[in-house]
Amino acid sequence: MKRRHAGPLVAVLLAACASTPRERADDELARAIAARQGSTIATTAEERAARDADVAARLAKPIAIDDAVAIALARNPRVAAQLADLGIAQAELLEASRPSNPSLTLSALDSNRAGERTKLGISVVQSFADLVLLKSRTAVARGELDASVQHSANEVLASIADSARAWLAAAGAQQVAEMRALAAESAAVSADLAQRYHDAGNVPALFLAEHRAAAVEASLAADQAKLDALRTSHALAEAMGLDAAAQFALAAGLPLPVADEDQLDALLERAATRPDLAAARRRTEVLAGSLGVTRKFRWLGRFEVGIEGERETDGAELVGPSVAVELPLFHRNEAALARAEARVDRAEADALALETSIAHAVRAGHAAVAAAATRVARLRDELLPLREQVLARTQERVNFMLDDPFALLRAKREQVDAYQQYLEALRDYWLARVELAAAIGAALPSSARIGEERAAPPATEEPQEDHSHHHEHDGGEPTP
Amino acid sequence: MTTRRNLFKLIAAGTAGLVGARAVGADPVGDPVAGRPQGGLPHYTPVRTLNGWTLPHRIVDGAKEFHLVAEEVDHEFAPRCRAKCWGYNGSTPGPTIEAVEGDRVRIYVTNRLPEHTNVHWHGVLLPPGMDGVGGVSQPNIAPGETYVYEFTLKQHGTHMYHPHADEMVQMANGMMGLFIIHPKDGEPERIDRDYALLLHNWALHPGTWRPDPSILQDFDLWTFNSKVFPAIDSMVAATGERVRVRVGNLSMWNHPIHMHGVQFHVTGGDGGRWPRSAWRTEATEIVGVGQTRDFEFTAVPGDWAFHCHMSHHTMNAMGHGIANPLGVDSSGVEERMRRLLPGYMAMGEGGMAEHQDHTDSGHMRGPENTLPMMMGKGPFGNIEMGGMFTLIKVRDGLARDDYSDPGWYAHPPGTVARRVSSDPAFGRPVRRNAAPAVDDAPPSEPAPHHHHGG
Repeated sequence: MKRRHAGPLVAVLLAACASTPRERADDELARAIAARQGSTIATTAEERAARDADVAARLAKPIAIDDAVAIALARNPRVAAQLADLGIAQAELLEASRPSNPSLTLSALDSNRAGERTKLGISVVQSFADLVLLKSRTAVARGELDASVQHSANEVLASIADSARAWLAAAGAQQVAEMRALAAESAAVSADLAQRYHDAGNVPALFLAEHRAAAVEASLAADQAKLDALRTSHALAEAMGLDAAAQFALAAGLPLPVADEDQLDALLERAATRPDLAAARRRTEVLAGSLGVTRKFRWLGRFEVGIEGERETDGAELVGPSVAVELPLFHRNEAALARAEARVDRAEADALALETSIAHAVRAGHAAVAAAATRVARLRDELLPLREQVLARTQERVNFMLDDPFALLRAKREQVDAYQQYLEALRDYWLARVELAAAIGAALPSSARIGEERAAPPATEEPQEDHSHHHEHDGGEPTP
Repeated sequence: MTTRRNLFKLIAAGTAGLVGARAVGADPVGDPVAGRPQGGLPHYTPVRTLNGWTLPHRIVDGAKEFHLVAEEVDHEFAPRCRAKCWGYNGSTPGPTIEAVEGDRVRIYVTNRLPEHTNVHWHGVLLPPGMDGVGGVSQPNIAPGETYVYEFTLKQHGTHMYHPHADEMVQMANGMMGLFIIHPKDGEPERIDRDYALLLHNWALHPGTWRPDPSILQDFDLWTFNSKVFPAIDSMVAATGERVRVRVGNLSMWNHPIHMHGVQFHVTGGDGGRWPRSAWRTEATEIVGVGQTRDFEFTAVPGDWAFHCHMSHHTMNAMGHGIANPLGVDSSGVEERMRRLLPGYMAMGEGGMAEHQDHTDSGHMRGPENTLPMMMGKGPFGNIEMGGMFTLIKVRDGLARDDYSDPGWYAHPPGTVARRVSSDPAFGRPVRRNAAPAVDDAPPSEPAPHHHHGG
């Protein structure tokens, strides 16, 4: 080979060895998640170790909603799946940022003529189209990776929301189970008391049967509620990515609603940068760029450049460049162009649809949170105090033997029912907030203002003093 | 034409009326203004309306002039139980109208109620147009109007007055009063103490402040002169005095009125005094709805109960139709109830006797404005009464015009029931053998199965 032809070959070979900087897609994912809410995924070994210790510490005590979210971030396999997906996109970027390898062809042809030498052939061919399109292809793949990062961030946020929902369902079910147990105890006491009245011969069998039937019904309802609590607890363990044998306790009591809910404008602003919307827009950009490239290089078909060398059978050595070019005879890449254009249209439509549905979801979610907060407030401020009054006034009547203890237990059950309504409304309020957070694809700003106060257990009267001291208690002067 | 002398009498009468209204009531013989109505004015002991008062009058144009005002009143049944009632001149019952047989009376009635009214003079003989039956005798007295009734008293006796318009509402709210007419020739036997009271019933539901006129049988409060025990005045007398108790009934039920300590004579009613041959000796006399009865007796020393003998009429508000706790053993269950309801305490297993201790202690509050069922404290402990119950307190040497409460009777030694043992097995009381068991076994044993047919 003549030396003057080695240069281009070396250049090509060197270019082939050059690589794009190794991007840390998982770092970008971690940052993308952190941009939307407080905590994020662990990407380094140190971070993972710290995260594992954190998870263990959280599991060691009763878990609240933010514990569930943190554990899900660390353990939920869907989060790991997102990292794997990114690995694929990252690999594609890597692939796209490198030109395809040149091909080397070697041949050795023996002649059947005596005295002729073996014809040797060598050619090295590099796709030139590749080199020309490299930068554009890299840009496209980079865009795809960005979009994938955003998409994965969205998926991770979605699984966070799922773990929050699962925690609320489990915490809610546990509190409902407690209330049903209280109602069942009240009905059981009623039935046992009715049994005592019947034993004394004071009430008919019908009275007894009615009270016992009510006790059984209440007990069945309590059992059902316990089953719900168990089922939702398992669903929570699954959402957090814990294995089936994992033990944990739920923190008792839901926090009270925040004092000031988020304003709609601030929510819409935050929603405008929702990761999947960002991904959709990025994809649209990428496809538009790709369309531009396709248009610009529509005439560029297969285009290979190479070096060929031959040693002829007569010993003559030939060497020189070669070029292969695709002739745009039957088509000029119209199909590719049409496809690229259609892809852009599709991406734009998808992005618009997503934007619209996000805006609706935010508005609806904002209204739902306000309504849920109002319901909680009305139950707490109107219904519960009134039920307590009913109970207290009924106790007064029983004190004066104007009513019997069965009436009192009925009033107690009504109070428990009202309290359960309140707890369910509180759970539904927090669920509405999870939906709103999912709609904006970020933590709600008002989450920073969640107070320490928890929903209190149903109020009962002040315990009365011990009545056994009446004999010494002089109620007053003899009546004149 | 009013002379200065007459003017002076009028002013003095008004002043005396105002001063004397709430006191015993001046002796008309000594009353310079009572004048000398038709036929002279013998002495009478003015009637004492328990917890009440006598309406003062003026003499105008030869008649005793009274003025009733029908109006809403703020009434207290006993401390811590008040209600918006309807009455006369600020009270229920209204003030007692007291006159003498032969008097001409002129009674103004001003209506300050929100609806029309009138006044019927129960048992009084008078012209039909003065009878006070709305629509029949007269047009009704519209709100704001004043009517005048005028008639001559032709009888003596214990009488009453009450509306004869929308009676269910007006009487349920408390509109009634006593109309006492003394005999023109004086009492054949001197009456030293003359008490009068009206029986009534009220549906003041626990926790409310207004009687419910729609209740016809299940009343909450039973009253003497619109008061319940322990707020009813005692009837005081000196040993040996002749005491008369006049009882009128404008409630919705008959009442067997029982007096302890003596056998009283039922000597008359709104027909006036009966002849002696018609007197009945009783310890209990039913006073029916619309009736009046006079009881007379000679006072015997001691503190003697005087009450309606219907045991639920001597209780304040009680529960109706509640599950009966008598004999119910709630041990074990009660603790579980208290965990759900810290204020609860099982009551009534051994009966109601401990109830007053609980309610007196103040720890077991009842509904607002509601009296406990059982009240009152005597020298030996809780009296556990309410409603139509009071005491006749007789003491040696009480002054004639002393009506103040003399405190508790000091029993002579050896005259008080005393404890001889605390051992339930004490002595050898004779018992009748228990009756054989019947087919329906008590609930704790399974009922025996009868096979019919075959």
